[in-house]
Amino acid sequence: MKEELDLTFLKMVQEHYQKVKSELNDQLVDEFYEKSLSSKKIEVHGELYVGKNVIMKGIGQVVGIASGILLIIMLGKAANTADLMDRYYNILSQQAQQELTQKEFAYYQDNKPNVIEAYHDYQEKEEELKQTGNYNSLGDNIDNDSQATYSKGDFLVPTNIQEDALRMAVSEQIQEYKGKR
Amino acid sequence: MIDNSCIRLEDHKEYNVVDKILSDGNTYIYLSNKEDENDICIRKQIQEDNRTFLVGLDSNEEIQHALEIFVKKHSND
Repeated sequence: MKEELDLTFLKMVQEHYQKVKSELNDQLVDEFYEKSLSSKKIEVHGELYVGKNVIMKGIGQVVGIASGILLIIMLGKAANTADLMDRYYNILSQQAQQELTQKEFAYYQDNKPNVIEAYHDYQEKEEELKQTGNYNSLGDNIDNDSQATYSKGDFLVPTNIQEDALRMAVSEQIQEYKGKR
Repeated sequence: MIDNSCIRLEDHKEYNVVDKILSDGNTYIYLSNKEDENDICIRKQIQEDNRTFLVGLDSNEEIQHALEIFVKKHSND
């Protein structure tokens, strides 16, 4: 029951994130990420400076946009957590149905980890995977050619490392259920 | 004479430099599209072989940090 309440709250966070992102304009946020992350190297000749026209006009609009994007990032992180936990419980349920005996499955149904425990287990696995050096700073598996869309500011698409850490955490949890009656 | 108050990026658009902030050893350059103030981005200034380049940021965490220092600096404007 508590697990369901926790997930309901997390889903509210996801919806709020989506609403705020669309109000700022999804495309604007995505383009900001595209242009700010890992872009082409451009040579500059001389010192860059803030021009008179910018100083006179002020940068209120720019600050407003930057504030909006920052808010989205913070909400996005919470939404990302909500999405990860949603995925965790879905994968756990699928693997439980596939791998557990009837008695083990009954035990699983009465002993699901709560969201805090599940998230802690997931974080441990993510940290282990980071130590392997197989993932870049954006969470992409360096052997995987396709780039994660997370890098473009969509917090609801898990990175490679997040997906892999989730599956490891679930597998470990399933092993704990085996042999239990 | 080179006008370094604006720069052309790889999308062939001109961007005004709206701020430069030094933080944790990095110089962040904040840019705003001359034709559309809603179109903004952040780059990092680096030195290589006595030449100056603008490059992208390395991670979402760095983007968050660069945004935070910018918003904080201008919060009373």
